Amino acid sequence: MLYTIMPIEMVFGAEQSVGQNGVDGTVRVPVAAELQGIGVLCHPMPDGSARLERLLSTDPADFLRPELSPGEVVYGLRMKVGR
Amino acid sequence: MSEEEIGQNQDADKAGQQVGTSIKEFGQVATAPAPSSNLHVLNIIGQIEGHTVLPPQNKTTKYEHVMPQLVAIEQNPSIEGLLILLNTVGGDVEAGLAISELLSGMTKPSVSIVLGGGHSIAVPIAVSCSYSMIAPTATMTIHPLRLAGQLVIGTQQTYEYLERMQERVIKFVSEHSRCTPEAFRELMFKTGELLRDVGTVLVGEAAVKAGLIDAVGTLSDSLRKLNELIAIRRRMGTNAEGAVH
Repeated sequence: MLYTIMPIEMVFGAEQSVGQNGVDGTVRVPVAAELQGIGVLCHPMPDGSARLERLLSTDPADFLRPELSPGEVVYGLRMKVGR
Repeated sequence: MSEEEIGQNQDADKAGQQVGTSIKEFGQVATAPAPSSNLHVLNIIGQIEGHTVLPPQNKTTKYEHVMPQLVAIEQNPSIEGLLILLNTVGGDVEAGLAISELLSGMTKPSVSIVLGGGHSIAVPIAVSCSYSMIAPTATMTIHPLRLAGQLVIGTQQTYEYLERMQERVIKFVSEHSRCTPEAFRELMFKTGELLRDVGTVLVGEAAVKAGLIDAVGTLSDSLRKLNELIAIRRRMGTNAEGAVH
């Protein structure tokens, strides 16, 4: 049950883009993965790399690492099962 | 004041030791070793996502990401305090309450700061911390629960279910803040303030006056408060369970 100020029609909007691929071949819904022990949300790319969307870390120092900033392309991700 | 300075020096020493141990343990040297912090930060943004996956146009905070992190923070001896950054429009009642219950059950000091907005189910999360703050321009909207996609309550049972869900929120908020259940219910059902709805919008100071939030403050205020709570906890014995609260 939702308790939010957002109108329900905005939360469950008509736009359904789940699983659709963007122009550059990346999946538009970010998936959870692990990079160097840090939880991330990313857009996996066909070559096995991924574009970082968001860090799920609570360590503020991780957010100061330029190689982990949103939009960076990273390698060596460990994908998590499920979303 | 001098005690605080001593505390900070200890922190610096500790950070140095931690860099040392990470080199030893992982057998690799970080290119630019960032100073490790004794404070961790949890960012609660967008919609709080619960049992239902929300469509991708929503920015969400997922409970399955947040809850294990809170356990890890409580258990990690090098983390001494937690800062919660709140900018959220609300979300799933049970996910919000679950995060709130975990936060209120931590022995480590936590400070929440409402920035921008902390609406609906963000209210229990904000009040669950050891100390709560709100930015001068941040707002909190307190309004009744609604049923998704239903404008009319058809049956007695629906009404009672809604009422009981609402009671859970009211109970948690009143038990973890200075706001009484009666006062909170009054804020919830106030008419004439919201455009399409009943409820109240509290801006900065008003949330403090209503007894929900402890103080108006900025980032530095919240960090100062957190360091203060950490110093108290250290004095009382760092690992004593339930030392602060």
